[in-house]
Amino acid sequence: MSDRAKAKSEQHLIGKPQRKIDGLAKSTGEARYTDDIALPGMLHGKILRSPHPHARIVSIDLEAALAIPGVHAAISGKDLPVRYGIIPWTPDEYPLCVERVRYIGDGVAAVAAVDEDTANQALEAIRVEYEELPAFLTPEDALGANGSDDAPFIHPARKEGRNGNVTKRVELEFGDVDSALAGSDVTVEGDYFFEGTTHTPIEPHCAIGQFDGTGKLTVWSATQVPHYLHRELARVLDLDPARVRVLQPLVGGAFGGKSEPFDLEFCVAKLAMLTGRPVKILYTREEVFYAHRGRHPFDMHYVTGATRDGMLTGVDARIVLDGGAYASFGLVTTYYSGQLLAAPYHIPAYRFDSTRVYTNKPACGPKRGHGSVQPRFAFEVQLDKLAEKLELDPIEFRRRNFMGAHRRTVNELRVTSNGFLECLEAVERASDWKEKFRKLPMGRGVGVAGSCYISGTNYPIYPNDMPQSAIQIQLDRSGRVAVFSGASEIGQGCDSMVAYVAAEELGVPLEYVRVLRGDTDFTPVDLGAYSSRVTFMLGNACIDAARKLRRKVQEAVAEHWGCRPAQVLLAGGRALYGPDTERQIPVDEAFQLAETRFGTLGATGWYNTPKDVHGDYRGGTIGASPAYSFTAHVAEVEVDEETGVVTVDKIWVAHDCGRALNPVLVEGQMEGSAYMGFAEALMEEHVFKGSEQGRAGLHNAPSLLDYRIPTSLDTPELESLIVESIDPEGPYGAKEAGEGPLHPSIPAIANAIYDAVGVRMDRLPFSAPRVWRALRRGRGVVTGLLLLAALAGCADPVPGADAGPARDTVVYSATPEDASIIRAKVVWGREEGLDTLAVGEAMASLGLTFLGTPYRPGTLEAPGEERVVVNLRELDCVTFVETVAALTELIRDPSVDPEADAARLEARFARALEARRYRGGELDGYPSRLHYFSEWIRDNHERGRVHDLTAELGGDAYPGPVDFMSTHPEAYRQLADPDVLTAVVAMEARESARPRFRIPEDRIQGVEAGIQAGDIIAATSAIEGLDVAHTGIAVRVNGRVHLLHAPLVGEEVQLSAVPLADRIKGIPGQDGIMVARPLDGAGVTRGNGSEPGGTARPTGQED
Amino acid sequence: MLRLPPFRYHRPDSLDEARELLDRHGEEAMVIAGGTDLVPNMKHRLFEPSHLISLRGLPELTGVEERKGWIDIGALETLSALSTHPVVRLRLPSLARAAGLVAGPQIRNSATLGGNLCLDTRCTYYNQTEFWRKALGCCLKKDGSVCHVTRVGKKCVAAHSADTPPVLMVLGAEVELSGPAGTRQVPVRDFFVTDGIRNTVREPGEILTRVRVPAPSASLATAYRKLRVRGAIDFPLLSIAVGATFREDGTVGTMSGVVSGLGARPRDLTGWTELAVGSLLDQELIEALADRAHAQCHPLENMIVDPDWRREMVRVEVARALGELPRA
Amino acid sequence: MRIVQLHVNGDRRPAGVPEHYTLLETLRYALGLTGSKQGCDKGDCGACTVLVDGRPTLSCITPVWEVEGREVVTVEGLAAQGHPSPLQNAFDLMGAAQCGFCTPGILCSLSALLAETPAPDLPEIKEALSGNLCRCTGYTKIYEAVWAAVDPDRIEP
Repeated sequence: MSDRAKAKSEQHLIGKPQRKIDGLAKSTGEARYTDDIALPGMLHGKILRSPHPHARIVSIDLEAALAIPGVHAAISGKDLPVRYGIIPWTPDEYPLCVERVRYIGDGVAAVAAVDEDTANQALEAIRVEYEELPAFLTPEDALGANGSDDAPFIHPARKEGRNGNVTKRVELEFGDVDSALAGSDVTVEGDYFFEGTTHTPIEPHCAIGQFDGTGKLTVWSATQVPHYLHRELARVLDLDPARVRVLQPLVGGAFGGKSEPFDLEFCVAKLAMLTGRPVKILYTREEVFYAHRGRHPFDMHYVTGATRDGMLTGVDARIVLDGGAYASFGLVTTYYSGQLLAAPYHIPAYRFDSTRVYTNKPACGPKRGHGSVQPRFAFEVQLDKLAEKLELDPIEFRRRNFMGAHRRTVNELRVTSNGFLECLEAVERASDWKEKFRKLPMGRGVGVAGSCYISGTNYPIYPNDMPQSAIQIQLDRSGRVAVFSGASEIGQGCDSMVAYVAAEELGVPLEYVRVLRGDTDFTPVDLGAYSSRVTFMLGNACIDAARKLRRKVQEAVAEHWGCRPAQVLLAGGRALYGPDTERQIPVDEAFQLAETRFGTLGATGWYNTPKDVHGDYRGGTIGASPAYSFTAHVAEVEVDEETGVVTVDKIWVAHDCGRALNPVLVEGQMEGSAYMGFAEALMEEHVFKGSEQGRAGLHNAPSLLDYRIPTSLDTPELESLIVESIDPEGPYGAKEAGEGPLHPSIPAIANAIYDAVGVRMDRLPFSAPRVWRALRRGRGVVTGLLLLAALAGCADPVPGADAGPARDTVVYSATPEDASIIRAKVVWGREEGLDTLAVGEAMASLGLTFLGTPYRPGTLEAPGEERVVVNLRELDCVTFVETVAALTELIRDPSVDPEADAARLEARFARALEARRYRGGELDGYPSRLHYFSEWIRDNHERGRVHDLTAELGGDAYPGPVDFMSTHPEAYRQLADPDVLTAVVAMEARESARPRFRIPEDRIQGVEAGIQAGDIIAATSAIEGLDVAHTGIAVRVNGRVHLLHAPLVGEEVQLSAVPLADRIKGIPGQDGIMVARPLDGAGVTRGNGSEPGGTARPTGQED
Repeated sequence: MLRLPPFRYHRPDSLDEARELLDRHGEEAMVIAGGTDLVPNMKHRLFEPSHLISLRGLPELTGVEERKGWIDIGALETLSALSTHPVVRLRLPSLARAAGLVAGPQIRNSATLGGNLCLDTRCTYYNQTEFWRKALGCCLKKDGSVCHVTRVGKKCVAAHSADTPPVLMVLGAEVELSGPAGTRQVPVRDFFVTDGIRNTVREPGEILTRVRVPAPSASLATAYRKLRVRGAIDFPLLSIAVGATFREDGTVGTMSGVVSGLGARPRDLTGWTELAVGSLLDQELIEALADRAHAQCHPLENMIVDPDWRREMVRVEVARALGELPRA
Repeated sequence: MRIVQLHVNGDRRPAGVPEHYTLLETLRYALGLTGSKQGCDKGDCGACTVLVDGRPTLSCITPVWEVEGREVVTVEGLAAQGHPSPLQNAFDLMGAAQCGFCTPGILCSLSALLAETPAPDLPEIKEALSGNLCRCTGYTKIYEAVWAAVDPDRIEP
């Protein structure tokens, strides 16, 4: 029996769906949240907030407010002049601002009054005089500050000479990144931007303070860290911690947004102390946005390398974090931005340089997936780009780089259980990946991404070696089990989890368990609901306490039965004799035996982390966790190419939670996480107005109408796939499930958008306007302006200028798929060294890579204005030749950067096409296209792009008119236009008068020696009025010339089975060939127009 | 919690009594129907009437019936009632659709047709809390002197954001206004003016009592599209109503379109008749009509949305609306 | 202060409240019916949803006088004689309530749906739910709860 199966079979409740102990209370309205509490004589408080992003407080006058009847107290910063901060090393906040306000919404004063209306009146009566200071809204601006009056630091520099606007900088390198990248076969470099987002719990923050005659302070708060609140209240209010009590009613959502003390908690406490009456403050929704502490905006630069066989070599990351006005958890965020990327893939060499910068906006902090969601987005998109370069399936690529279980990461974090491979397999199977990736129709796509996350941190926020989590259990003779838990129930189900564990260990029905919670007066310390620590730590603490009691019960019953304690089982509300389970007593009798034997039954249990599981370097402890969870997502999307609207149809979420103690709750966490990631990917933007928008630093829209979170109609189908790796140290093998499953949503969606429409979304969110803009660039429907923008910074900003006057626009059409083909071919060609071969050989080799491309006639006959049609997906005989020639030019032009954005590449390629397809190399309406291939050859010959060899090889002149078009107007839509028809007739007259040469079919074999690989072959036509019937490229096979060509409807680009000579003989409509040799050098469509055409010698003729 | 400003609440039993109350309290008073627009605006201190006169249950303002070639709808009919009413669904499907696309189900259960017609114009610099607007320095629509959208000029460009008026315009509907001077009928096309501060011709003393829609001919086809970010709880970023009649031979007989969500007044698209009448509504014509619409519509930054995108979406959404026109 | 005559959850409940109170403020702070929640202040999130004459209504933007003489049902009124409704029971069994703060409003919206459509399909559930924001669940477990309430056999073992 496998460990996993065994581990499962041993439990009765654990691993099975169970009710939540507060589930019914929540669905009947009984559940009590902070604002549901009303105390006798309770006053209502309000906080006055700064209308300035950055200002010095000159004076605050509270008198007028205090004079209003019903106003009982008013306070300002100087009433609470003690700095605090959740991270002990960066205390930079006051409960109310002292001397300086740092963002619009910063608290400056507070009042307590008989009701909310009176409190609001009081706020209006408070007079505050400000002296405005320059505000910094971007890290770039803030880093430019020097501490002068014109460019002040938002906070005083902590050390002389430091920039006060830098919260923290972390530079760490593991292994030799530079040589790892230098030695890579493939590297990808990219810039990414992750927009800020905020938690948006539906419950706004709320707190109630009460101060009794004995000098004891009680605070009720919607917090996820009652213990830290307890400490900070005592410190800031200068109270004996033993006389402070924090109660935590049920919390209506938090997601990290309630994981540090906030101004309202200090204010209700102080106001209660001043008035002797209970005081409540409930944030408005607007205030919740100002309190924020949400996801930091990240500016990220990544270089990622790999070997040709798809093994990662190194990662180099540079990150700037936009921190907002205060440090919050920022020191940790800065480390997490790099530290948590080192799994689940094996990264041989890794470096990151992260800087968190203060700006005059609400402070950022920890949001679900603290600090690691942003880099994970960038990195997983980098992996997608690498996989494409390596022509590897992105799932296979990830699989190859899997780090394995029970390993250390490059930054020396100890990873124990690791079910990432199973996660990948699960989503690959469930999503039918192999049938979809790169196979879905245009506009639909799938993308994959993976991630890892911590199950708690090995070190508490303030240094101490006491237990990180603890619990107390008390049994009585009725069979009742009382569990005293200090953990923070924020909806994740930790109160239910301890009930399951206690019931499991003590063998009682779930209904016998009471969880007494949320009160620092009677619960042991738990550090709080953050960093996904609770199930792992509290679960272990609960097992510890319950087993101490179980042993006593077993011992007492064993004594009674005269057997060994180990033979006594507790399960299903009974004590059973193992060897013969017919022998049993109800569990309450068992408890009575134990109570008789040992006296009143109680026990405490606790958990503390291993301390030796990280590297010995500065910051090595940050990111260290007793266990890591792993996740993989596949997202399937639809992209509306006209509107840019992205619809995520489904996300498959596979998560290794170690062990699902209650699968229903684990799925709930997985679905909620994937939902929140999806929301950040498509909708959410926590942004602020600039000075040109009325008021710099003003929140763009602090409401649930304008800060859009998805409704039921927007949310994709979510399928949870639980993977259980059974962690050696987790409770029953469990790890976290509440944060990890958020990470891959965003890169999976980005990668799916690329699969759908071929545009890379490297900036969040992927809103319709952003995607629409990307598609416009991608599709290359280019206006002069757009193209100039796209070409900015390009070495040769004006492609194609050799042919006629320099122009800065080329009107063409292409699809994103074309762009990726161009990119792939150029990359391939460079890797194959096509830029070092004779141009003909290059064309032949490149041409062969098009074998199998479907034939389609008439792709150039697009409706509307004639434009350079780019289509590498479907070719006819002529577009095949033109496409191969143009691509060859791009490969051989060193100024062409295959990593350039789609618009730039396409424009460059379209220009190279135009230079061949149109008379004089310039598109000027339909008639300017070189319709007759004999003219194509001559025109390109005259401009030095090809050398017409037909005559040199002994071809005959063959006169005769060319007038096929004008005599078959019905075959050419454009000829309906009389002007066009006139122009075409004139052209035909011109061509008919010109000499043309052909090598008759019976003489082809004789001149084969003179034909080289890559020569352009035109099969002359026996049809009256038509010069050329077919075209292709010469390729040598066993010494004979064969034809590489796009032959016929229903067929694909192919190499002729028989030699060229035999082929032409065998086809009635074709009676000979023309041969044109592609030229290089001067032939390259240079942007600067300096290269003269026509003078180049044919390459390959030196010898 | 955001609080309402204090007010006296009145619940008249008849339209006359309501008019009389309105008359008595003048500018101090506002009428409330569903309240889904007014109450949030009051919480934002955009309006602080000292008297609220409730129209709830006034018999003169309820009921949906078809008679004498008109479909007559009481102004108090809720949007959810309209979106499900058999007569409306059968005879005015686009009106039912537009009503059903407003906000979310709860809002539609309270919001009324009259209220939707009188919806205050919206702007990112206006629909905010008092604290926010003061931090901004307010704007000329409320308590201020500048327009932060155009940054110049004294004209408010807040956007008409109601879903039903564009459809009512295409249908040639008219509203009944009842005031001290008696009752008057105003075509919905003339009901709106281009002033973002007060964008209707309704006088302070007047109450919008009924909406009358000419019973559409069998050959009239209409469609409505709403562009928004979310599937619900969103005002339109752009809304398009189109209407056309087709002749025996399938060619266009009449063709009209209205685009809203741009400025203070829904925009009646011009030049469509010339383009469309007598031709078949094929892809070419649809593109021509869409281009014409595109040329006339210039979204401003009165919403937090890329205006270039919004403008291009005029072309796309108009074309799609035309494509959705039911064809015999 | 003025006395407003309310009918809430089957009881006549006169309440003395300031004239500019909303229905939500009256329910929560005057009648002690704290099940209905305040999330967004102004009708954007649906946490305050109650049934007025059977129709889901946003109590935070409804002046209390507007419901005088009408039948108001809050989440506390959905359970019959202390027995949770099948929907309330299914919410617990299927894990449809995480933090539980949006749950009362959602239960009101969905109860109205089930009253009109006893066996709704997914699009109908999504539409009925579209005015209630939930930040915890991604809505998936809520759909499952509705189906479980309609057809207990669908509750996975």
